[in-house]
Amino acid sequence: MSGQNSERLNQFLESAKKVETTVKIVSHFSDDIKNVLNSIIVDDGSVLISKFRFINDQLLSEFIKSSKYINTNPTDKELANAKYSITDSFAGISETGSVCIVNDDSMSGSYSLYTQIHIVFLDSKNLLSRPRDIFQIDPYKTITQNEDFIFVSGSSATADMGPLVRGVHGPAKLYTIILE
Amino acid sequence: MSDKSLINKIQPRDVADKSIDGNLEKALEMALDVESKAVRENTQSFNNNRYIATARINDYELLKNKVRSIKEDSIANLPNLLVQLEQSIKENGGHFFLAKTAEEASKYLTNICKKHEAKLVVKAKSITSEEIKLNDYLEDAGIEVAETDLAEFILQVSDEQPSHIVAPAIHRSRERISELFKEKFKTELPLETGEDLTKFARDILREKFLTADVGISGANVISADTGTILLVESEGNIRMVTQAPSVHIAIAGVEKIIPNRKDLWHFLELLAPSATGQDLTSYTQILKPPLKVPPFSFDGREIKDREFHLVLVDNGRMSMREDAVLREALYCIRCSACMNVCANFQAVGGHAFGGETYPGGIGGSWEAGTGNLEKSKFSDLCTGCSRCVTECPVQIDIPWLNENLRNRFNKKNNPEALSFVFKGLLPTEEEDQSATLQKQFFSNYNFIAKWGSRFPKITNGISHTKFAKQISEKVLQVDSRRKLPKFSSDTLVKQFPRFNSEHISSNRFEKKVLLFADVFTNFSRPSAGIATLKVFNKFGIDSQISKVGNEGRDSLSQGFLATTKKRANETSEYLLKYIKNDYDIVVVEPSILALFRKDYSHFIDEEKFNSLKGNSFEPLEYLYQIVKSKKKDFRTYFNIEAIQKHPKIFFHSHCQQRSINVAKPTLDFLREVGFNVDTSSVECCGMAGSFGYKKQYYELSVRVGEDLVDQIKKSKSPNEEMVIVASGVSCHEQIKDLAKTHTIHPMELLYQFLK
Repeated sequence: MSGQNSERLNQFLESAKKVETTVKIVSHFSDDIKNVLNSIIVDDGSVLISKFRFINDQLLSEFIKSSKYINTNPTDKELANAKYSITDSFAGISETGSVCIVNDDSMSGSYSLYTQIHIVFLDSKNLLSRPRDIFQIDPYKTITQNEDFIFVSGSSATADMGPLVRGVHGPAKLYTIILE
Repeated sequence: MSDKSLINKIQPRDVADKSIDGNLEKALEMALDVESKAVRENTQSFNNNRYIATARINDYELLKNKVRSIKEDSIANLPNLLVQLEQSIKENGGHFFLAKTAEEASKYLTNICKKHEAKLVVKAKSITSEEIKLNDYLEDAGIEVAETDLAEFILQVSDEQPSHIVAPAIHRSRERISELFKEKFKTELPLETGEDLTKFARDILREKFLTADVGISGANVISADTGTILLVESEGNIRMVTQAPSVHIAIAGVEKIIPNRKDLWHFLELLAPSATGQDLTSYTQILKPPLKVPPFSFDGREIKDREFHLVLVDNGRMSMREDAVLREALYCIRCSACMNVCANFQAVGGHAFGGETYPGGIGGSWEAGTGNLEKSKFSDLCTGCSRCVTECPVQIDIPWLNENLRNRFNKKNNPEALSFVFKGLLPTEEEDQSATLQKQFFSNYNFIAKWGSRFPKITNGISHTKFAKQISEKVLQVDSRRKLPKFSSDTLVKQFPRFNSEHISSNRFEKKVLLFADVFTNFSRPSAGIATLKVFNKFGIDSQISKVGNEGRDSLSQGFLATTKKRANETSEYLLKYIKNDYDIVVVEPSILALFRKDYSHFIDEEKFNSLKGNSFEPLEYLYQIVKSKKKDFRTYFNIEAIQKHPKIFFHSHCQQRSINVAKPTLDFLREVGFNVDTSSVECCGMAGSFGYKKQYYELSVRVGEDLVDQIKKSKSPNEEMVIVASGVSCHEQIKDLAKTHTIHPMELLYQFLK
């Protein structure tokens, strides 16, 4: 990892902590991916997984195929009741601890909304500094100029009931897994 | 009304329309009694967080300027952008509707819902939908409306209007939400914690999302080139509303349009830090509806194709665009920074400081623009302190908007107008003579002080008697619990020749200063002016005194714009002659310096304004520049050892002093010269010139001042002395009244330690 990337990664970790996102860093194509997912998915609540457009990892694919709880094509009812969602992201923003996910028929935008726990994969090479970068730098700007997308900066939250509460209409917990 | 049980019976909606006589007063009483604590805690938390978040953005000013410029260009080019946006929405497969009126918008939206045989609509937060009273129309058509933002959900249950633009239920504490839910939902659940309450509301709303027929959202920004909308939130309800039902309607004011999608990042980087102090909110969506995500049918109903409608609302906005003053309000990005930084808003929130829809200082222009002038009566709570001007990310001069609204009020339907009495008696311009007696009194402080100082024993004595206070309360509505500042017969201008004869003047002096004898320093605090002259003399500054000022701060605060214009022109012409002769202008009273540096921009030529602005200084700002640029040693001038032994200083900076960035040099100077200084962090002392003297606002002024008094108390250890230092005359009066203690001006303090 270059010096600049390492700086961005450190800043991302700091920003993510502020918004109570748990970040795990694992190597591409390693068993660590499986271990990390197993440490997060601790019960038999169903897991929805979107079509990955921005991460290509064989071991991850194998894990998905092997897990009995994983559902890549849920019914609407299953969508409304699933506990976990796994999606990819096309960029991460170090200053804000955000991950950027598309809202298209890959279902990242939907799965990441209805479940209680959202697990998002981010390739470390897609770590950028500020939100503006995805509007200005190729290839990200191709997405941001044309597609529907969301900056996800922490889990769903409110302070309307007094203290900050996480887990309102969206997930109560966000995990970001950075692949190095 | 003083009976607490009656106050508790005042419902926010009943007093929302401030055009009804007595509603503003009732709303103030209700808010101070019931809502103040929650509003204060929450707005101050947002306010502190904003300071921290914006300080982290290294190009914050550039970002602000860019967004301002995009908004200005967009409003200027609005008719063309509307045409372009309509085309973009249609190309995307959506439907576009431009509603001229609130009624037209609500009817169109209701008809779409009827067409889809909608039984249930889920709504995300939309202040525009509140403005057009959309829920009433939908409910009249037999359609259930579920507000899904938790704050809006609370308001729907309590039948209240929003009290804040970002956190609409900011006035309700957790305890009051718990009481409300228990009462309205007849539940035995404990509902004690934020988690309990959130889960309770979430469970109700999740069911609504899954069965709703139509979702209605607002839009933070819309780009004309692609028909893209930006939506900012934290709860996830907007994401639900825009994708769970197959029909999505976005409603927004026409002012939300900008030309290009590629510029949306400016807004999203600016909005969250300015609003809640977050870097970004949990979810920031950028959508070009209709969504490509397939529609769902959670309850087994037939799946329909996605359908999208954009409903843009004019409802007075295009007229606001033609109004040089109200046009500014169209640049608002609805972040709420102006509300959170406003001391009066912090004390009462938007149910008092707000109308039927729009709260806060900016809310007056919106109520006037989308409703009528009378509905903006609450804008009188803007004291002109200007703290919002520096904090507004699009740099709207909100006090100026409110001074104009006041001016329009003064001219309209005023039964108390006594112009025939004032004509020729008070130095008020003819077009300002229809204002109330109270406003006439407070807009002519110079005139009153001049006469008062001629007979100080009589005026100071009489004005402080019980009888005189009763009379002035009855006739002028000056609260009898206040003492008007005393007038000195030995004014600053009168004392100057004595100072001049006792101090050296030399052609070798490096700087020439005209000390401006502002109306407050001259008549009520001449000692601060004399101290300034003496310290300046020690620093080798050759000082002259101006004639007594009649600058227009008093008239501006009452909305007397013609009178202020006259005073601004006379004052600036007088001062510019000195500036041409290489004099720098030094002003002791911060509110007067703020006139020269900020407010005169509205009244005098740009070139003259820039010259006056660039050559006017606060005393310690001026000295600090000299010390730094000439590398002067404080030891040459001050007894540093004595300063270091001096008791702690508590420095309260004047609101306008901070707004024109001259509080910091004062603080830096005091610290660097060796004082142990603690400071207040309140935005305003609450007196705010004449505001705290007005009978109708006395309680509010005192409530605002309580924060400052608390900070003073907390700063002082039981066994130590502490000296309170304040630069503004009205801060001095407020601290004297509420903390029962004396303050001195920073120059009076420093003068004591001159070598």
